[in-house]
Amino acid sequence: MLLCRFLAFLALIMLTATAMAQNGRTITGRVADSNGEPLPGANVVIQGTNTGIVTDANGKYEITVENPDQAVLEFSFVGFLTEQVSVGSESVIDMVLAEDVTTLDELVVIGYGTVKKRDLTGSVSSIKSSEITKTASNNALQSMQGKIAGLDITKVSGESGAGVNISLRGVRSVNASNAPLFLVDGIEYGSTLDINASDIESIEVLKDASSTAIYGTRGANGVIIITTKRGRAAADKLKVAFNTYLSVNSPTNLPKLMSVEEDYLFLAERERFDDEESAGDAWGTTNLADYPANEVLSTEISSPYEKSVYDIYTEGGVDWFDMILRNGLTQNYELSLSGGTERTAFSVSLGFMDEEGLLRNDNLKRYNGRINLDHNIRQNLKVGVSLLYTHRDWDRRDDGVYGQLIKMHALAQPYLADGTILDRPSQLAISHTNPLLNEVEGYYVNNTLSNRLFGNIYLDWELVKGLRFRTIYGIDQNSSRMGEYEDFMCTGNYQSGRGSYFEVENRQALSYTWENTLNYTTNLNGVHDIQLLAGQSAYQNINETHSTMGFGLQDHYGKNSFYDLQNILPGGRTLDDIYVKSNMLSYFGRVNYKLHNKYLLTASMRADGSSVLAEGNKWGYFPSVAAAWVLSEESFLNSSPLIDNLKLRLSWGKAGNSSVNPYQTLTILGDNIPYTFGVNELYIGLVPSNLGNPDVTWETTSTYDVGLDVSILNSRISATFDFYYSQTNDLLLFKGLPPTSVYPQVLANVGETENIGFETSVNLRIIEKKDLRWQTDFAFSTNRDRIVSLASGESRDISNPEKALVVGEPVNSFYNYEADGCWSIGEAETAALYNRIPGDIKIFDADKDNILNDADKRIYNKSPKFIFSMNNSIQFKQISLSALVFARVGQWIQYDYNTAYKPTEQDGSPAIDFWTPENQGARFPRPGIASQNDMPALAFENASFLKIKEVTLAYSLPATLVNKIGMNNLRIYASLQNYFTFSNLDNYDPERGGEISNPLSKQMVFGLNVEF
Amino acid sequence: MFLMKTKFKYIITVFAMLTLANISCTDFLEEDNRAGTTEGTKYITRSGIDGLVAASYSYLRGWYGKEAAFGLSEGGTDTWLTGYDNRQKVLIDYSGITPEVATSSRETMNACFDEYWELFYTAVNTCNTGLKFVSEAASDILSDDQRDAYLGELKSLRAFYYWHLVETWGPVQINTAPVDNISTLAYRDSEEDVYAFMLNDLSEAIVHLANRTAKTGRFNLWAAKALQARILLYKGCKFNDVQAYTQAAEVAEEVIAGSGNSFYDNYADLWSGSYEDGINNSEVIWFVEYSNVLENNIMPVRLKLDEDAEQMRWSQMMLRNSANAIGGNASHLMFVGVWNLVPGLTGIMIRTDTEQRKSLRYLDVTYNLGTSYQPYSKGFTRYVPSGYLLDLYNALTDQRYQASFRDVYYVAPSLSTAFANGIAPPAGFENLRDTAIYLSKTTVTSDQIARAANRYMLFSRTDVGEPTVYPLYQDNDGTRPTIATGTSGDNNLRGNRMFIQLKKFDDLTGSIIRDLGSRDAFVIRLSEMYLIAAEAYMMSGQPAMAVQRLNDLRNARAVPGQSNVLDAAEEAQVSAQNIDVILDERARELCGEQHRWFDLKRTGKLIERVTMYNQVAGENIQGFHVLRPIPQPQLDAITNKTSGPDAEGFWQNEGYN
Repeated sequence: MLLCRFLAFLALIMLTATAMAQNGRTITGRVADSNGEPLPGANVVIQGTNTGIVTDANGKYEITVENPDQAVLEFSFVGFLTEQVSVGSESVIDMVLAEDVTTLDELVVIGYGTVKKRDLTGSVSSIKSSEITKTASNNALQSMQGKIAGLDITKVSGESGAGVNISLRGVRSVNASNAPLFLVDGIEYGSTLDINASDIESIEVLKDASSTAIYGTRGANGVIIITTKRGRAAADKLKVAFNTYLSVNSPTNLPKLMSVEEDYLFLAERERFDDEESAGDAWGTTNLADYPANEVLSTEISSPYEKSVYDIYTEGGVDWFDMILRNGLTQNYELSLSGGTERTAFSVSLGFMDEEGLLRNDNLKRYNGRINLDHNIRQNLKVGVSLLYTHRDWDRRDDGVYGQLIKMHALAQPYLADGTILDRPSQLAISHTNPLLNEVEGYYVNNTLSNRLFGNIYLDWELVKGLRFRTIYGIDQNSSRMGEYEDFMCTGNYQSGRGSYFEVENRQALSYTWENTLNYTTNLNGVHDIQLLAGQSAYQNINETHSTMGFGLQDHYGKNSFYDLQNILPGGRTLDDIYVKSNMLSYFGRVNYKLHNKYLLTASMRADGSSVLAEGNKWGYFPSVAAAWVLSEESFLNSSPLIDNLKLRLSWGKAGNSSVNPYQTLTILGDNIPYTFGVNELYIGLVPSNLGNPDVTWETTSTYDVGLDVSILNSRISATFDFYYSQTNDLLLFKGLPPTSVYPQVLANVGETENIGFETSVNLRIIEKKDLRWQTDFAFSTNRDRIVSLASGESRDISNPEKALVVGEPVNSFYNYEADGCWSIGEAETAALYNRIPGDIKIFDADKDNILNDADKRIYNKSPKFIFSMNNSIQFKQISLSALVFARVGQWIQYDYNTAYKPTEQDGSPAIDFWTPENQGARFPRPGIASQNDMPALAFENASFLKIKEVTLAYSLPATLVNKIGMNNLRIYASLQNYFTFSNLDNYDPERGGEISNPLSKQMVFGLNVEF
Repeated sequence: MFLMKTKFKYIITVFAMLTLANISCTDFLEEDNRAGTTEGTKYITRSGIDGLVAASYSYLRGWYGKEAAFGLSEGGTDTWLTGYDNRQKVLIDYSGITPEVATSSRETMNACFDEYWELFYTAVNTCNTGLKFVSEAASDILSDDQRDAYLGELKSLRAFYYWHLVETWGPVQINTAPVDNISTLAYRDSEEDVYAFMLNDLSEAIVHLANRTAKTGRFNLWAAKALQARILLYKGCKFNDVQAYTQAAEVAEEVIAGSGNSFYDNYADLWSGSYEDGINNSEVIWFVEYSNVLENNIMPVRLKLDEDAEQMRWSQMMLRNSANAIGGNASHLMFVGVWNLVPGLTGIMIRTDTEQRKSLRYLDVTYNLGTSYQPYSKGFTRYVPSGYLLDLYNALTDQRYQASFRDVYYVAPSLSTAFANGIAPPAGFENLRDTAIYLSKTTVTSDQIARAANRYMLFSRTDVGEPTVYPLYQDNDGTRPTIATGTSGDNNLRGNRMFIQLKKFDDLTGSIIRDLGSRDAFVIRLSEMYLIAAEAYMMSGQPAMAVQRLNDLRNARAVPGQSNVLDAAEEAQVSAQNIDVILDERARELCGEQHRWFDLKRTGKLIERVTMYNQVAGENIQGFHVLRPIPQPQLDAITNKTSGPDAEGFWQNEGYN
């Protein structure tokens, strides 16, 4: 959109130049929007001529019309409906332009160019800056959650700096990434977006292969294009914007551990079980009353404890999660300045973010600086630069502390009376060390300092009218140092009796991209619109990493932490060096053809040559073709009062997944092998560890897409529907080889998956009045993925039950037993057939053959069946209220909480409902029964959830008021994010995906937007 | 159309120049790897080649001194019965050897066939890689002399690895070059071809090693010749090849005469801690090095990947290590009973299980046990000696019984002084002085019982009906140990948990904490050369020479002042070419040294002797057991599987389908 304005501006400059020195009447006037706000930069053109002008900062214009009686003035502005007025005898013509709600003339960024939304043939969704700044997050990509049909986004964890998991239209690949390609201003960036949300102009999501095939090997998982804001000429007026928010982060839900009462009941139940078992399996013959707390729990005080277990019981015990977790505070400040003259425009911004997670010292500080400059050397020659600098200072915590927490008993004594931490706090599980030890100042440090310079310079040259040459050179330089120090008193080291641990990793990554494109646009006879693109791209990435690690003595190294690696014991130092270089060379071309504004055709082709593939196999070719038919332009529909737009789209294309890692075609040597000869004559050898496969190539995905865009009732209702089918071939899987060929497997392109899905988004403008607007957006998507074939005709590979591959089943799934409650006392005989006893988990015997084997296992799909969201926003005068509801339905998770229950062990336990003779309907087995082999069947939970993801209340001061104090805009808002979650899991946010560590947080956000 | 010609040309030129600027460097799409971990970068350096050759040896650590290999080389023979905690029971009693058990992840029953199949083929490939890069190395990297030595070492090693393959599985595929392409085809070369291949490798190696005679643990001239003698003997035996026997005898004689090895007067010295390093041991011709720097004992990682595409680890039975990537010799754990779990005595003989615990506390007094008190190793109870093995020795004339076996366990030294000075011994042993346990390989007499009463614990060969005397075997022939019903108290004092211990491999210097030994594994000893010569002479019709060589060995092992030579019956056996006389002598000399199963197999005596001396295994053993099953992953991955022998195919050994 910005670019469009800019181009329009350029065009006008040229028009102005030719409109000089003519006679006639001078017409003046003011162009404003429906709120009366002036529209600077709007175009005023005398129809049928090249004469025109743009409005000034106050929306005013002055134009000389040669032949006023017949002249018609055309007023246009991007995002508004174009109006025509006959001049007649008027000399003052004020114009109010109505917003073009159909937004069909909006420019959409596609691969290597932009296209008007109405001319799109592929499936592309956009999200605009106003939506992006709504979500308070360290990663602007999170703002897309629930807003784009087909895009599945979940937050990785509640840690500071935690990223997002993103997949588009399901999963295709087994061993390679399913993440889309992320581009910032055309250059690959990655998914950790360290860019101020307010610096982003738009984010476009290219979904079907006809849109992504132009990115060749990198396009199979979709492409996400992020465009940053650029300066614009605004009559020398400097625009200043300041955005800030504060957010209080607290855990959404925390796992509940057994209270002292439950702990006691668990232990009592275990004694009952033992007694009933030794009495000859006399299940249910004991009474709980015979196991009072003061007998089950020790009343003896043994050093170093100051209380007996029973004392702790009567006092109520401790809540470990509460002791370790806190509320975090996030502060975010973004300041930007932009402006420019006719020849030069700039946009500069600064940002600072300080995000705190839920553990102490879990903290990310991020400092940003960005500058975008554009300069017109000549009317047809433009150069520019974009630079983004990010400095990150990230302190992380050892998430092993969560694993330790869940093993803690409420019946424990974390501190002595004098405040000393008891290193082994639990008399019931004497070997477990105190998780509080990790929190002692200086005991655990994990700090990453990184600096990233990301940017590009470009030159844009219109060689002749319609033909533009553009060259862009982008760099991405990232250096980081990760340092970790783990004192010997930290839980992990302390429990295993090791010394203090040191690790430092230094990383240098440098990549560059150089792209040259020629773009030719023409219109023949007003009937044929033709756009041609030819381009070439070269890419190189070098990644160099050097790490040092090892253990020191059992000593507190305190402030030295990881800075002094001399503390690693002699001979105990491990070094690791990585050097990875990959290059790619590409050629691509595209034709866009439009006939009578009704029939659209796009065809593209890309050739990629890659260094990671072996000689003779380096090049791949990725074609696509798409067509669209704008039915609403046909005579039988264009006069319909109901339908504004109706477009049918069809596309096919092939894109790749550049999942081949560098050097996979080479034979790599493995770890150091020592052997000694003579008297301590030590030799270190390296031997081959894999067989390079010179035949490996990219996975490729072909996608068919049928889409329909509808807009009716003056665009009060608009909707998009897409149905797609994709097939991924040459899936990279390990192929088994006989050991006589030495390497028992080799990575090869064997296997196939397919995806079929439907997605739709519907936009309703329910109320559209000056003081009251109500808009509702729906997005819905559903996708089914399936494995079509595996290596050499195998029907399944279930060697890893957590990543089972079964032909005909989803790509991402668990494969395991299903539990059907527990065996009751009445079922003792049947249970015995399975070698189980009452209180044991009852595994569902699918084939009823009294044997539990693979045939009784089932698939648990990890991907959601559908994703649904509804976003409502209501604006009443200066107040606006919006709410986003988001649902992700049908996915299964492996819930670590469930499997942390260990009926025979000394560990503390999650507060689950366990079996007792009085509670035979319980889901979890009886304390005392060794059930570890059956526990996995209890791990799986349907993690469907519905969230009121965000509720935001905002107030903008009236324009008249803010103008008085020299501002353009002042908005304050408060928002609750992630506050309301509905699922069948208590005390857990299923979006976390099953893990206990780093729970997701909810945020209470207060923000301020100011513009001068 | 719209373009003026000159402008168009100009544009095209600019664009073409920019494009060409990118691709003009023709190597832009070449792979560039600099972190030093490919063949092309590492093996062109001297250190890379040195390391590659050294690493070619390290696979031997997966076999020599490792539990899994004891199962395949000593288990299921006439000399050893199943111990209580043996992890390979279905293998060594022949009750469940299937291609599937080969791949079973159950540590308790793992025969490790699949892992050894992988291990040896990987080892051969490493030798092949070494041969390739040593041959190709530039002369400024490797002198001709060093090149010769390395070629000799690698060829010897390759032959040695193939010897394990062919003797375990029969016909096997010969790989002569490093694998560099993907193939799902496999073939089986005949045993004759494999023997020819090994002997060819060795004759070439011997030429390469002509001036390498120093003993360092590498293959030197004498080690290569000793191996040649062994393989020639096997060839003679397997194929009834008199010429091979003659050659075997010749080569063995060369080694005896030239290698500079000699027998210790005191057989126990051979196994003492002082000479546990193969370099210092005068009887050892070639050995596998285990360093007391435990980190230096690790093996190359398995090439098979797990589901997360991480390299899998070998079975713990082959690694004998912990997560810290350290390894060691495990032979000292295999043949030991639970002396430290004997009721009433545990406290006074206690094995120190941590470095800190070098003292023990008895009746509130602390007794210092010295710096490294681990006198009897840890009782893993894997192998129990058969009655046949124990009865082979005449302990009065032959040193080898006392030096090889432990039948007496003593009270910890400082405590025995304390008991002698009147400190009260544990209940039931009021006269306890120095001896705590005595195990008799014969059935005890009433005198022995009376002497032991209240003095030490007594085990007898068979049940004598006394509750205080524990029987070792169910039968007088000692073909079946008595079976423990528990792991503590009296229940565990049965022949498969407490037995006469093979003490050859005692490791007094190893790390106590980790049950890791640093004793070198002696692979070829001087006495084997005498035994090879004797057998070869006998089988090639030179009985007098055979008797001579057997008596040479016997004399070296004689109790001083006693005659230990062959008796008339044994000499008659030699004359009659009765292989039993050789097998008996090999058992006396080499028991536990990973020869036995192969000796029985090659002489065709496996079935007969197992049936006779090892009842449990004897009930199950069948003719086809002389070959091991081809592991299932091999058969699953090939595309030319055939149902039986076929030059173009690959088949499972008979009996395992």
